[in-house]
Amino acid sequence: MAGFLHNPRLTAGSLLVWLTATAALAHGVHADLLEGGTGVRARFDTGEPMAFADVKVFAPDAPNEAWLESTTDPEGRFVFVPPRPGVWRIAVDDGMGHALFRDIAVGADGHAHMDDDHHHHHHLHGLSAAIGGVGFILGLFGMWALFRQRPKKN
Amino acid sequence: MHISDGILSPPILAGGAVLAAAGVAQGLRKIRDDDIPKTALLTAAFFVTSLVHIPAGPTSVHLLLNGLIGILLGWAAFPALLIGLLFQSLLFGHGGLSVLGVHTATVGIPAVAFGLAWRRWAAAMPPPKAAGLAGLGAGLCVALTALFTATILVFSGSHWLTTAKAFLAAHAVLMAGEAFLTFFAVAFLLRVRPTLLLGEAK
Repeated sequence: MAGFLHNPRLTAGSLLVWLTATAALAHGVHADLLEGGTGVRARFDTGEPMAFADVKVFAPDAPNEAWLESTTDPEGRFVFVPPRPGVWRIAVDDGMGHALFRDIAVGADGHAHMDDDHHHHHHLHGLSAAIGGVGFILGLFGMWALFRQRPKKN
Repeated sequence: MHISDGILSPPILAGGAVLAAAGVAQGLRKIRDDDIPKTALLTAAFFVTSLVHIPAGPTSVHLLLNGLIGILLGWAAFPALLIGLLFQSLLFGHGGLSVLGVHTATVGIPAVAFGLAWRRWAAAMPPPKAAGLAGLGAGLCVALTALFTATILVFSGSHWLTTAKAFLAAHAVLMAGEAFLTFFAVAFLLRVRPTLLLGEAK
């Protein structure tokens, strides 16, 4: 600590930081009401929201580095205001192996568009899918057993 | 453990696919004709249980059953899990097709490792102790799968801390649930049909 005080460059630097911080404190703060925005609502198949999941937003020109990191709200929603047009990517990750990403195309007029979630529209629902799948699986194994046993019998 | 397409990096996807392919090949070599009905039933059970959600903290988890599957199927767990995950992806949209190898590996490796070890140890144990070990192991299998998944997500840019916290909160519930379920299932089978579990231990 004493060494720190005796280093003139460090002392001057911290003085500058202190002055800047004080100057910033002297600024008033106020908020404007912001309406609209663009975002997603992330849900599990059951319709349950992906609440408090990690969200990363990737800007159109920098797809590898998160432009913003946040979390979904209790309803699984996340909204932001894209500062410029382009394809913005939102990744939602519940930290337990359930993760998704969606691309949102923002036009020059600020209007956003997201492709339909193919993964959900083309899938059967709940019970019928479950029964169908069980049927498929048992049938598949049945056929397999049949083919395996055939040469032995002859 | 359902990650969509496009989240994991290609090397991780390729690594998972290689591990899964090796496991499935070994499973297909080891499986006997008599095991096929059992494998079919467990594959169907695994496929359906991903629909059973247990609320846990802010989110929910679903049953995994990989410990029980490992004990009952041994190496055959790999093809069983691959087929179950494939149909979950195709019919429910749970997890992407490109992630199939990674999922099979993260769920299957703990299952098979523990299943093979359990068969060796349980043969020399009194049934209640063997069932208790099965329950503990099933909890451990869930933990390992969650840990593998969390690690893979970290390599793909997820936050380790958030992941670990959520992992602890939600998977503790699932670990306990799976441990109980596996304990009762194995205790029941040891009493009713021990050959189903230990028949092919040789």
